[in-house]
Amino acid sequence: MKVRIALLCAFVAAVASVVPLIGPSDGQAASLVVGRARGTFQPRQGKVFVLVIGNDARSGNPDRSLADAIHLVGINTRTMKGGILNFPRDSWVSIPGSGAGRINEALFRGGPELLARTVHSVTGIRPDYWVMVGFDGFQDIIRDIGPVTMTLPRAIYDPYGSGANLRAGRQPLGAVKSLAFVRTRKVFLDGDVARTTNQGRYLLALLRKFRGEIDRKPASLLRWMTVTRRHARLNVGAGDLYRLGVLASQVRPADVGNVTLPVSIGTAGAASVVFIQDGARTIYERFRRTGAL
Amino acid sequence: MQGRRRGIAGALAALLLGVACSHTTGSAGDGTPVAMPPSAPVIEQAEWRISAHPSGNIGPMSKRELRRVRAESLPLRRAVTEVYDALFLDPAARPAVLNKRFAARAARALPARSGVPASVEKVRTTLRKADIGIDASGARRAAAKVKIRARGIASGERFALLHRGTLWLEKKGGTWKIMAFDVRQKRLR
Repeated sequence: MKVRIALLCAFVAAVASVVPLIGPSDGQAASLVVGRARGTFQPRQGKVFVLVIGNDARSGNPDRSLADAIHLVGINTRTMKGGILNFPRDSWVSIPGSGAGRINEALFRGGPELLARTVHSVTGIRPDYWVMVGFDGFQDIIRDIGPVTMTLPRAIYDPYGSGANLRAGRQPLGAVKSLAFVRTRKVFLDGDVARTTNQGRYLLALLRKFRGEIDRKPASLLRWMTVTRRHARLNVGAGDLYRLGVLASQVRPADVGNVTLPVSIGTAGAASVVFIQDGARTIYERFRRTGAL
Repeated sequence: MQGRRRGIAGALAALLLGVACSHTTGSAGDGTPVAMPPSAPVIEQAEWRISAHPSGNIGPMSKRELRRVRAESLPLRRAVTEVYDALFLDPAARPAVLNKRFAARAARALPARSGVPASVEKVRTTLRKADIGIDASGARRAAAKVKIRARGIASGERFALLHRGTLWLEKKGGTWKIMAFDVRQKRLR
């Protein structure tokens, strides 16, 4: 009997030494809970602005092309809120060193750098970086990263323009459908204004996809980087692109406003253009101050 | 006969105690002994399950790229284990590890409450897992997804927690540093 007790005591002592902490927790250690915490890089003044350009070149990213998509994307790295400011391509503006013209001509006249300077002169916001993609590059990006899911409020059918034939509702858009969606303008009453707003919506859908993938597998950021560097032209080094990617992965699409500049239709000489309305000034000011919309 | 039984009992007891004592040496899972604060007894910790692989490549990688990624695999594993050993097993090492392994801003942003508090008396990790993706083109950037489950006693109270972290790493001056992170830690029942 004494032997059994001795064995039992020895066993209990051994088990207690090996697994002293297994068992139900009384849950009193609330101070151990951090919830969610994030730390990311902080660019100048806690804001970063990226000019996203879509040119009309069917292949490559030549300087001498027109900008069909012009979006200034901002992120406030403190609040993790952001904004997409969409510029209708026919906006009549002053192009630095090149007189007046449609904003999309700035790309033709002086490449992405001049377009960035033009956006700066119009808004007072200097883009930190620019990224430019053409038709082929855009489709190659979508082919490499996979379809982007979007919810369309109504069907889009534009057989003679963009070639879009999209049903209403939530659906994945592959390379061809994505390009058709972001190009469609003729079937909308407000034409290019609706198109540029849709392009902003597409960027938000892209952000949603990006975040979903990063959440599941953080290293997929490296793939997105490779794809971007392969198919787009940009003035962002690998290190900064990585940091921008990390930053973007921490911004919720719901916290990103998609705003198109208020414009009115008019003419400049024989050209049909749009004029940016005075109300845009408050948008620029807010965007410049907060990095968000 | 009774003497023989006593002998067996004694031997068994000695064996069991020996086993118990042998577990108190502890390791980081990669064979590295964990330095524990003097107040906390060293307990066997869960083995690290770490996978490190190239990421971001489109198509096959060149031999040079593969070599680079392989060469960075071990330093990256070391960086991740060092950080989490400091957060969970060796709070005293935390300031030094934060200084060595975190970019300054990231170190400042890391809440003091992540990992276990300095007042921890006992801690036992029951799961330590990391998945590290290394930039295939150049191996200068990496992303790690880490999951840690731990139980312990801090300030006389038992705790059990689950920590999930995403670490964004860059190689700076020959050292892998965390330049950004996203950590979620919650109490388990």
